[in-house]
Amino acid sequence: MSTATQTRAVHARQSTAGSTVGANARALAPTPLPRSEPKPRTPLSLVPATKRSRRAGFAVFCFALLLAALVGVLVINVNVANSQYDIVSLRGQEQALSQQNEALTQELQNLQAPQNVAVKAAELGMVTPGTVASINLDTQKIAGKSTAAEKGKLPSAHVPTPAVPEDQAKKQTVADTKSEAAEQQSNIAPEGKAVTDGASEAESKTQKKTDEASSEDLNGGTIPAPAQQGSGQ
Amino acid sequence: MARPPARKSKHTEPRRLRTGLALAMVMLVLLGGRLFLVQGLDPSAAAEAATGQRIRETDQQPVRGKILDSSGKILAASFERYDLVVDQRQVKDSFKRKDGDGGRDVVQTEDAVKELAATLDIDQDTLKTSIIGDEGAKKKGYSVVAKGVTPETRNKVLKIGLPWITSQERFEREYPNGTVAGSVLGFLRSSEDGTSQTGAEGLELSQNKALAGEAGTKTFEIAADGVRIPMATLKEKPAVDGQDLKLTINSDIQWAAQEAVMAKQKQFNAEWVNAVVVEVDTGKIRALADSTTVDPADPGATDAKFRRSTTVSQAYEPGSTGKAATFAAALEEGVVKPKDHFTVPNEYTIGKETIHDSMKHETLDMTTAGIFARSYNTGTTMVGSKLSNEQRYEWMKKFGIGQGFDIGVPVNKGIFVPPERWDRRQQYTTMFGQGYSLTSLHTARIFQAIANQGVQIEPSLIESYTDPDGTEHERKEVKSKRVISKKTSKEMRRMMETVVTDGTGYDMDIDGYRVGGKTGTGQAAGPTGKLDGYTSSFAGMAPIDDPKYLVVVTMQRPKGNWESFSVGDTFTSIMSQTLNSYNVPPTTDKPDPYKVFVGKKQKYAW
Repeated sequence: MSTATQTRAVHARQSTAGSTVGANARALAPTPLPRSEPKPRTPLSLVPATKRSRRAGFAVFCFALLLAALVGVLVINVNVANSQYDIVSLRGQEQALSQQNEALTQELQNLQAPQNVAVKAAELGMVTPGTVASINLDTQKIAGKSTAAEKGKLPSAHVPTPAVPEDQAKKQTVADTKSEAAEQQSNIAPEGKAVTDGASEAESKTQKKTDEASSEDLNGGTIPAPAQQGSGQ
Repeated sequence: MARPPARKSKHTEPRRLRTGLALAMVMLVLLGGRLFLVQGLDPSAAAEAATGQRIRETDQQPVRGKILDSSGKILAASFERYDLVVDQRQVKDSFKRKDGDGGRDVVQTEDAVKELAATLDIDQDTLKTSIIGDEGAKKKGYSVVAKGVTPETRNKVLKIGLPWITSQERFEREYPNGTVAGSVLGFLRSSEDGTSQTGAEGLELSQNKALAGEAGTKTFEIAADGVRIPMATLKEKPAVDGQDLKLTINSDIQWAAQEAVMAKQKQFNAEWVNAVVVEVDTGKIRALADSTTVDPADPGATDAKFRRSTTVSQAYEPGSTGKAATFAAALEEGVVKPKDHFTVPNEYTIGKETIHDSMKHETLDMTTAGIFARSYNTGTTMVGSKLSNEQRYEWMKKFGIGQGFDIGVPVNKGIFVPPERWDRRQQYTTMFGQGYSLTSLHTARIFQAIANQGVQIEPSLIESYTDPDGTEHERKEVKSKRVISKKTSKEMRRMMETVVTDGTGYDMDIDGYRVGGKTGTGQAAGPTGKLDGYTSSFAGMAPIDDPKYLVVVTMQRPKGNWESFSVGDTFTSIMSQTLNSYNVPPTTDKPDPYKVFVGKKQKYAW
């Protein structure tokens, strides 16, 4: 300990002598400290008390900092926790939407099945066509003989038609199409009065339907699902 | 620093202080003791128990890949469904349910069951048995209320609020087109643990590895209210969804073909009728139709024999369609030309074996093409015997007879033995399609080679695989090989046109197109080996000058008079539907058949 202090003292002296410090330092012979004149003692006097307000201000600052940090952590925590709940509800919504999408896709695929299309076409009064002749534009010749379609000639329905699931998705689709049709109809109505009436009616219908849909489709969430483009709403 | 001296107080103060201190001490000791218990003695077990309560591990079920047709229409897809399950031991007589305004109503369980019956459309008594259990019966811990309900129904059920009903998610396979392509798609069965489904037949089985995907797990911590604790431990091994499978099948043509073969099956009360549609230039199979098709949603309802497509599973003796290979080989070897002359009797004896024609006819002077057009066995034997048995065997093998190939579902190789094992009669019968067996798809391969300028392309059923991220993998490299020369292909096609214009295929013509093909009436061996039935078939292509599509229709064991058996209308309806769907332009060109008979007279009785 004492040696260390000494060395430090030596260093101090060296630095005052202007030598460099470090491994390459020149080894200088310690020069004797210049003798200083004894200073006269400062007479005792009353020191004015440091301002109290400064110390209090620091304490307030510390406290405020602590409080801010605490509040900050709390707010962040609450936020994180809340967003976790948001995530859950959003995920619920996403799930509900994808489920609806899935149901509609399935229904679409079912309706697109060739058997179902054939049955639907027959219901609409369509028959299987006769043979078709075609004109070759290059040679100006007609290939084949066209025959008229026979009345009541329907495709043989040997392949059983797959059942189309009847569920809410379907009803909703029907409602969608209806409101869309109503809107279109109102737009092309010739009389101005009819236009407004029809439009408002369609609008109120659509509105009502949207309300119903939103209260049904929230699935425990709080944010209504975004409306799909082109759904007629 | 000295404290300021305590204020003078009433005599009660020290006592209160002491009581407070004592209380604090007691609590401190209690807490300390508990702390020692928890942390001192076996702290890891306690921590484990605590984590165990929070941690949840769930299986992440992969979504099984879809099966699509050539235009992207869904043939099979998995949809989310729920099983509703109840623990009967927990069920009480009544429960509390939230009413609209934040309060709670007491609801009788029986009333809720009534509501449930309406929602699920299940008989009330059945529901009572499954939820509450029969009087006196042992309460079940796991009782299934309803299986495979849609998410919508499940939400409605959960709204009724019976607290003991839990829903288990699973995926259910749906086949939106019903039986269209059903026997190609196959079906699923429940896996051993009952939690998922795995392929049991058809493409669902053979492509199970690609379709199934890989299950994942998710480990996370939850709070008491069931919501995940943010920033707590989370381990997730995401499930890898299955690949989508795109087929070469066109569902519209598949349907049309199924309709046609079903109508034919009904007409002759045949054992089965099947049809194959192949795109000539690519070897892509556009339809594999069966008169009896399994409904993938209810496979049990179909006889086990028809749970696979008969087009690949049933090998039979082809009969006269087999003559195509014999004539093509003879032309390619140069031993005959289409216009060569033959004198064809009704009965022909060669090497102690007598060959008959099915219909009695006078001895006729015919061309090679004429023999093919009228499908005479005697004439065919004359042509075929110009080649050695070994030569014919090699040619038939080259066309793919007796060979297996990979289309993604198992294909029956059929029976085709080498010439050293042919018996005395078999060496001649193999010339006209008896004495060996093959599937309809094999026949389609032979005719595809003839149609495609002599180049045989291996048929394919799978177009591509699509990863969950959308990357598409084309099917493996298309195998193709030249079997016969362009010249032979052309001559064969002209001979096939002669079959339709002046031969046995008279009712196979399609207005606006030049059609060619070969009819076949084979004798079918019954279970005892006796030839007691017929196989009637037609393999045809159009347009004959540059064939685009090929249709093979086969009818097994029709009932009635064999002379009336014809699959002509089945062929024309499937072929015109195919030509129409793919916009194959019609032609005004006149047919260009060979002469059937030698000399000016071209009309002779059959």
